[in-house]
Order: sequence, then C-alpha cells, then structure tokens
Amino acid sequence: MNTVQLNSFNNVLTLLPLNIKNYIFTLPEQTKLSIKEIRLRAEKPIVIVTEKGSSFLTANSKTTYIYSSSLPKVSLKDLTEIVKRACDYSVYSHQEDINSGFLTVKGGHRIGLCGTAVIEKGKIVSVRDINCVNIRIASQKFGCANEIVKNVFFPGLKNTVIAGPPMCGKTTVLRDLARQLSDGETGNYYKCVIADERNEIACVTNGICGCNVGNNTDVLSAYSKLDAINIALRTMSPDIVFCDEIANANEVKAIINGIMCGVNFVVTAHCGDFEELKTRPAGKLLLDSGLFDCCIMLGTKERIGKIEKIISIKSDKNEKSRSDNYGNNYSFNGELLSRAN
Amino acid sequence: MIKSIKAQISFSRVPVNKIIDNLITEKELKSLRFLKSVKNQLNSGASFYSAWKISVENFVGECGFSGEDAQVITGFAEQLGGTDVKNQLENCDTYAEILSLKIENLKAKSQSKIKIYNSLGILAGALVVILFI
Repeated sequence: MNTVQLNSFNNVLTLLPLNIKNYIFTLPEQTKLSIKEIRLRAEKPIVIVTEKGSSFLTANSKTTYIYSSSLPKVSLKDLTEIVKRACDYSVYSHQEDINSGFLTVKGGHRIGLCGTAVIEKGKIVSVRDINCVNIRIASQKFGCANEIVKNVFFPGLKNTVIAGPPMCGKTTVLRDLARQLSDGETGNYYKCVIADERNEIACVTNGICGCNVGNNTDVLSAYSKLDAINIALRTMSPDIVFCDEIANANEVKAIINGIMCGVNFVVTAHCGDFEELKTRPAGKLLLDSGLFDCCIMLGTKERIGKIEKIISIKSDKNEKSRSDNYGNNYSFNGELLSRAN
Repeated sequence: MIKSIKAQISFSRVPVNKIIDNLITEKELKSLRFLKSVKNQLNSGASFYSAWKISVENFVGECGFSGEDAQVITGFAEQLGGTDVKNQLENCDTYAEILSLKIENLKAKSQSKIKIYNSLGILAGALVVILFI
C-alpha cells in the first residue's frame, strides 16, 4: 500500500471506535489494500467487502465467509459514535446529507447511513437510531478514462452519456475524465464544472476537493443538479459540465438547455444495458433529444470501469451507417456494428 | 462567545472544530485560554465533549471561573453539535441567558460589596480621627 493510499485508508480508521479500529488495523496489508467497503450493522458482525465478495471479521483479525455467534459485533453506540465523528461532531452542519442517507468524509470516502426516518409533512427532517453504516473506501483510479478520452474526446468535446449498472465504475470514470479534460491531457485545457449533488465526484470536505478532478475544474458541491447547471451556465462559462446519476425529466431539460447554450455535457445514468436505458424516462429523453453524441456502456465484474460498447446516438436520417475516425462502424439507430481492428 | 457560536451555526452551519478555530482568533476571547486546549484535544483525536470538558476543568482557575460556572460551561458543550440547527440555536439562547443572569448576580453582589467597603472606609477614617483626638 503506497503512502497516499495508506493515509487515505487511515482517514477511515480514525472514524472507528477503538475496538473496531483494532480489528481492521491488524489485518494483513494485502487485505486492507483490497477493501472496498466496511459494513457495520447494529448487533451484527463486521463485514468487509473486497473484489472477492463479503466476509466477516474475526476477533483475531482474519476474514471468514462463515458466520458464527462468536464473531465480534458492532453496537448501536459504536454506530452513533462513527456518525458523530464523520460529522466532525456537528450533526447540524450535515443534516441534509444525513437526511439523504450519506456523509462524505476527508479523503473522499462515502458513508451510507440507514436508520429510522423522522418524517414531518411528508419530508424527512432527521434520522434517528442509525443501525447500519456502509463505509465505501474511495479509490481514485487515474487513467481509467484513457479509453474514453482516446475514442471519444479526440479531437474535441462530445456530449456523452456514461451508463451501466450500479458499482460498474461510472462515477470513478467520470471523475478521471473531468481530471484529464481539465488538465489538458487531450492537448487543450478545458474549463470543467462538476455538478456534485451528492459530493461523490470531487468529495469536497471543508472546502477542499478530496479527489483530484483537475486544476481547471470548478465544483458545485451539494447543489441540486438543476441549481448547479443554472449557476454553471450563468456564471462559470464552462466548456463542459459533468453530472452524475441523471434520474428525472427536469434534470434532462436543464442539460438540454445547457447544450443548446453551447456547453458540452457528460452525464451518467443507471441502467442494466442500452435497451433498458432507452426505456427509462430520463434515459429516453436524453437519447431522443438528438443532442448527445454517444453512449458509453461500462462493464461489470471483471470488466468494472472498462468500456463494453461505445454507441453513437446522434442520428442523421440520411445515413445508413457511418464510421468514426478509428474505423468503428455504426448503424443508423446507433448500434455499434463493428469495431476497428 | 455564545453569540459568536450561534452566528456561525445559524449563518454557515460551521462544524464545531472550525468554530473553535474561529473563536481562538477573536480578540475579545483571548482570555479564554481553554479554547486552545480544546483545539489541541480535538487534534489528538478526542471527542468534542470530552475535549471541552477536560479543557474547562484544566483552566478553571486561569479563566476565573467558579466551580459552578465551569459546570454551566461544560453543560453547554454537552448539547453542542448533537442536534439540528433549531435546537442548537435554542441551546445557545438558553445558556446565554443562564450566563447573563450569573453576570447580573455578580454585578449586584459587587455593587453591594462596594457599598460595604465605602462604609468601612468611612468608619475607619472616623476611628482614626477619634483616636487622634
């Protein structure tokens, strides 16, 4: 584990009460390096998630796939303490995030929260009795957007949808793409703006980006996507705007409006495959607008973060098929017919 | 101090560790040396309440607090940071009022003590004159 990774991992350990921290701290280095999530549930054993799957933590800091009642358990008090630490002992300053079910901590790590919602007039006003905490370890993957930059963003910016199922690396790829375009890795320094509604892309804490999103990037953290897009268009004169998890028609309309103003957009969307994206309301609106150049489907399991398909979606009715600069051949309705050799 | 804390919470939702940093820089609060101790305790990983409590206990004499004052100041921190904005502001108002009442009582006590000292001074002067006579 290099120093940066170690420091980042240690940021997570500082959130944990001493008993839980010790179990994880004394794990073998290789195991620590591979941890993607630490899942803590009230009165249940500690679960760590790696590429191999979920396993329980034993009292002698080993992992096991077999449940036993003697495994060390997490208490409600432990979870309360973790949330307090994650909030810097200032619940009021993170109330909106807690109500939305997440916190972001130094290093860009995201903490998912489950508890009992307190509802007033149909709206969540607070959460009590937090009974589950899922600490997702941030790992910025430099270079994971290389293929996309090479295949899509040469020679210039394109309106792009990055799509795929959960945990396929959409946000990670989006982040690296912003960094590369911002830092001139295509030959031009583009003014990038990130609409970071859930603080998952740039992971800003105390005003500082926890993740590297480039030197020419402005981050609107915790703003709704609508507000962020409007502010970006009015005041930040971006070349390109990045948005994560487009989910509703209003967001799509704001994006379309932005593209019509001459700004490029890269957005991500959840879907199982391209066919499903076409049927989802937000996906259908994005694709039917005719304003997006391509849709990039990402792979899963062994192919997390890798391109499965690049589908051209900007249609010209007179075309039956066409090729891009790399010899990939597309049909009229956007299906990739063949890849270049 | 409580007014400043209230403003930071109300306006900017500043987290408590940043509030402490900001309080330390305020000229009017320079005499509250326990604040620097709170910051040091927080930096070494203590929870906010225990950092505050330990620091108030350690600097009681130096800051001129009585035991009772220290209890009130410690009680304020018990609620600080743990609830939503509305309750935080109410907490600030409650403790600001408690401390204001204490200040009023102290002022009243010191006023009555001034009267006693004046009277004693006059009596002492009269006694000296009588002795000389």
